[in-house]
Amino acid sequence: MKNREDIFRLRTAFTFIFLALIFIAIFVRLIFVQVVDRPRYLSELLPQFDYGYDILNAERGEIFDRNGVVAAYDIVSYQLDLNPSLMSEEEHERLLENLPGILNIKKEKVEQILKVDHYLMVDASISEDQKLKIEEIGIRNGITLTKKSERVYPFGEVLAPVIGFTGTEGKGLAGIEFSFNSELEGKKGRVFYNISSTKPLTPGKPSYEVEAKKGGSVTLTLDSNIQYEVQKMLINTIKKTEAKAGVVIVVDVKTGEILAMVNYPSFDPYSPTTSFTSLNRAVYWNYEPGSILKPIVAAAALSEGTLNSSDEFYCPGTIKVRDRIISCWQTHGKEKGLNEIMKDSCDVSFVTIGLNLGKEKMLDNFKRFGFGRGTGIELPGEESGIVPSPSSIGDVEVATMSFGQGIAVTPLQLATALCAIGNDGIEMKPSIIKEVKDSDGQVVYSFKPVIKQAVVSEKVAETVLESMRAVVSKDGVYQAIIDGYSIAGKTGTAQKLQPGKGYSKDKLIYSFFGLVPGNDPEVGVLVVVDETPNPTYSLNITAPLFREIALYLIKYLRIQP
Amino acid sequence: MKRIPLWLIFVILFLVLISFSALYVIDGGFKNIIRESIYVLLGFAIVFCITFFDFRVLKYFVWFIYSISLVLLLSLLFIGISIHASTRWISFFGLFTIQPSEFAKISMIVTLSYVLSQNDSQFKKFVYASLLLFPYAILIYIQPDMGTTLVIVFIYFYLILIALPVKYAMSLVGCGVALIPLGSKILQPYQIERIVTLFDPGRDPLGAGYNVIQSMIAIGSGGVTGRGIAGSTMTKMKFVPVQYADFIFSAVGEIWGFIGGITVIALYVLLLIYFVRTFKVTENIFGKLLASGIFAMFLFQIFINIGMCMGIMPVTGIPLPFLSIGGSSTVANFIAIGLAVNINIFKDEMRIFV
Repeated sequence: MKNREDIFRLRTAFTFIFLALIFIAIFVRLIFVQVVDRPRYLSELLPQFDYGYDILNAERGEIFDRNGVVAAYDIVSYQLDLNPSLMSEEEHERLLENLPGILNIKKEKVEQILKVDHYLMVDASISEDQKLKIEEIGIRNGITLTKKSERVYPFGEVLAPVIGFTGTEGKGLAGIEFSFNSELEGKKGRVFYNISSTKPLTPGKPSYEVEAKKGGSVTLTLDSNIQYEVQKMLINTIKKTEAKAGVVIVVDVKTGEILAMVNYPSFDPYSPTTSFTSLNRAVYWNYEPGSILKPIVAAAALSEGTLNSSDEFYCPGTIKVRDRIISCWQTHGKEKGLNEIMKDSCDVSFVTIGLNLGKEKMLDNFKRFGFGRGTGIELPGEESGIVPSPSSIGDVEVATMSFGQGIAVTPLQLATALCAIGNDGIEMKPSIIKEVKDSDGQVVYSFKPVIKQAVVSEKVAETVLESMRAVVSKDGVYQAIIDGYSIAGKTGTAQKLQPGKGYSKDKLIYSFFGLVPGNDPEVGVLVVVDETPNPTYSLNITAPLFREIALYLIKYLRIQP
Repeated sequence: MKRIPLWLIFVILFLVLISFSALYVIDGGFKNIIRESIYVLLGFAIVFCITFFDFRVLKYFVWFIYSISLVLLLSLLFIGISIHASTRWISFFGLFTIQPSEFAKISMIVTLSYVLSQNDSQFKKFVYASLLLFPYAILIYIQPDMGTTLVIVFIYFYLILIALPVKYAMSLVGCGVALIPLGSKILQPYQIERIVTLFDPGRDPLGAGYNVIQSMIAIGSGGVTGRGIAGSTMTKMKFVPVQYADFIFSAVGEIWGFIGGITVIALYVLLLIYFVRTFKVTENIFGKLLASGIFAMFLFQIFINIGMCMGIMPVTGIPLPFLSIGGSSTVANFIAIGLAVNINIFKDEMRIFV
């Protein structure tokens, strides 16, 4: 066969081409699967691992008061699950011997448990001690101890409006727990299991563990002692007067630190509701403050030069502005100088001061004092107050704003602005956070006093402060006098705006702001009490409460006269 | 020993090492690696032994080899062990099991090469070859083992193509095409399902398409450089079924990535080129046909298996030479290598006896 060689050669060539084609096909396919379409396959890979791990919950960080007293922390417990079918006989015996003692259960119960052939929850709350003892038994398979943690609030209702609470998922839902959630919550860990496609629902031994990391801690500027005492005093007053609600804010005048922020009613942080009661009135409540705003109006007029401290006014009991007659709460007659009109809280004089100041300058000053926008405190849900725009108001509104009607502020804004009078005209940014540490214990934030603005000159501040000192005097608000100390203060009794009915004559909000000591103030105390069944004046409700609080503060903070 | 080309040993060892790396990840230990090492050592011993005799003595044992293999296949009907609903294994005193169909492939190559190299009329040779094919093909098909059946049919087809005029091969292709309508009768429903699934793996992702989809996810997630031994989660968590055997290429794809896949393919190409060279340098027709048969066997298994792992071939249980575990197939592969080496060694002396 002569051409047999040729035939073989031809077929060899054919074979080579065939071979080449096949491998080019495989090669191209490999490129497509591994390089071109890789993202698609990776995206299909990830969801398959959903049941391949368990979440390890992280312990939530603590919240402390300024003295390091813990105000919120996590209690750690463990849940014990056993699957006796995965253990050896010898391990069964060891369990039978040790478990009754550790868990304080009967031996028969353990015998029963050991007959089960699947995972069984044995105890849902095992302490750290018990956990260590159980681990010492040395069971290798079929045992899981799941860490759980529960939030504890030692101060309960006293701090609840400030600290807030966490939900079932362990996320902060209100207060500091909410606004500092990311700092407090820590990092969840994961345990990965070897799982097989044949038995996907029975996780094997943990193969890899990413440990959970405890969250950082937050230290408040609040002093839990002050908070607790003031809460007690506020509740007493409210019980006595049958008032609806009350707020007290204690501020360090020189630094802006909030020393106490007390709310009534408060709520139980273990069973919170989402109603208004679970919110912090000190920051969310827009209310018309009334005469307590007069020191601000005076300061504005003094610094704009439209008022001199010695200016004299005459109060006939009413004043006509445009077509409206505004009546003073009393007929004061002749008023000599700022100290006297402040002491008498003469509405007619302040209407005159306000009208002389003019609406643009008045609104500008209000804004400079911080009304109309949030103070920037580290709490959620802060309101900004309501300051009308210049185009929407006329002389009548300017007149009423002069004694604190027709403008709404939050208690915190008011306290911050009034503290500036006691701090040489320098307004400090209010703060409730003293220190924040991350999970490694490193300090990531440390409080330093922040000056918001110098709102009025030192001289103006001193003049207004003097007039406020005149308020707390024998023929003024004598209820707030503390022997041996000079106190500067101002009352405010505001009529509540009834929807559709104008201002109410008997639904009132009583405020008092006092600076201790009055000549060189260290703390400012704002007391607001909402609506009593029998209308009265602020000096009868909030002034005595202020005095009680101030006395305690003087003792506790050792304030020198 | 000198006469075994060193590079061939390296190619095989390299493949075995890649296999071991994959097995290590799949098992999370050395269980299968130790077993496989024994078979590999046994395999090299066989290759070494085969180099001592001239392959042409096989001519005198052809019928013995054919009958032994046939008896083993027949005995499966009576004493076979069933795993996954197919009866493919015989146990020897409970010590070890063998899979006769793996050896039947070698037996088929030897027998057909012998028949087709005889000085008979071409038609007679064609008829004899076809008659010899059927007992094997049917016995393996009813195990059932569609994959190995296809390997044997392909070996037969390829040898007919090489040894006889093209018209015989063409007539076989004609027969095959004519049998397509019968396909639905011959194929089991699950086999039809696999073929349909080939064109659309997504139609039943948790059933028929599951293997292929998981395999492709594993290969695809490997990327260019692979996810390494520690990071290959698909393989580690056994998402791909029977990954140690039929789907081992997907493990290699995930662990070593495109580089690993290409390396495996390149090693196979070297192996196949060795068989083609053997075919070329041998002037003995028996030797040429033996080399062709071995070539066909490896080519078909490699192509179908890798193609299956990447979703371009239907799913059939065909092992990947030197990568998949399985004692019988490893030993059979080494026997095939031994024969090819032997043909190379005795190529120069061939005219003396013929």
